[in-house]
Amino acid sequence: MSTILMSPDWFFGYDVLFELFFFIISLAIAFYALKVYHATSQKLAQYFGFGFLLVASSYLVQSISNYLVYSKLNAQICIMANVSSVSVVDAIGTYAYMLLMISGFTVLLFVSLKSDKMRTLWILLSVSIIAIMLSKNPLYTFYLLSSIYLAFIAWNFVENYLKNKQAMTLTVALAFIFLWFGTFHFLISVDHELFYVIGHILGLCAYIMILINWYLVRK
Amino acid sequence: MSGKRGRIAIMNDMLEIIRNKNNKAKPTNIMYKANLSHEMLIEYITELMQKKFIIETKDKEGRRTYSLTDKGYKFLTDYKQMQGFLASYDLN
Repeated sequence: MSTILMSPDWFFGYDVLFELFFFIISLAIAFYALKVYHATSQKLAQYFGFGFLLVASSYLVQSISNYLVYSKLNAQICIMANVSSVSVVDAIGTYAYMLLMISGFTVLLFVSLKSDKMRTLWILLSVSIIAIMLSKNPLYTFYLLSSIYLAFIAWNFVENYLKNKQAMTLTVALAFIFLWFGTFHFLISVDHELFYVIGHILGLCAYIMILINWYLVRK
Repeated sequence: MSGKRGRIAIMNDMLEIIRNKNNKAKPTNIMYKANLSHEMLIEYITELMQKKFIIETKDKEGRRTYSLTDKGYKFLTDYKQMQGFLASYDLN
């Protein structure tokens, strides 16, 4: 399992910048949701904030891990011993990224289900983590689960838009549709480098939509 | 809906009533329009004044009116933004 192989050479470094951008936006959303919870005691806002905090952490871990791997590769330390250390950094980073991201998506799925039973969250979380850890291809399982979860989350936001047709609800629905498409492209990118780039561009579209929503909310 | 959310929503309603009365509302106006008991009115007015969201003024006959401060106006803006955020992400 390696993320190094997923990116084409010319995209090295750009993906780190994309991930840092995703990290900053998702961190801002997380903090604002927690601020809303503090002011209103709306429980769903608290879970939503924690969900985005996990997502933000995963982007940070991914960007740091990718940067470390690239910087080592760029230094052309490719003798066997160093390739091994790069692989270790990549494996730790990839596992941390997957576990944080799937936990974040699970919390967001739990919020969209509007269940008041915490057991639902723990079951979803434990099944997701166990499935990834025991899989022969953890990265593939991670993207498959993420695609399924994001499909349900996006559907919830589409329904929210259909109930309440406003620019604010539309931008959120589009953001999560882009995120879902992006994750689906990552699923294919395990074998095709170009899809890794498309996945990042779709992620960028998603976070631009979230930024537009942020602007509309604060207008 | 939790108790605290109810308090914030009631405080927002009271501030909106004051603003809509050209920023000068009598306690009876606030009480009836916000649908509060007299005890609740006193409690919320005290809290809003403690938070410096409103100020009290008295005329020559000693009749009291309440007006929003800049902090009160800011609370109304922030509350509207929070409601927009909650509605956007279906968190209500």
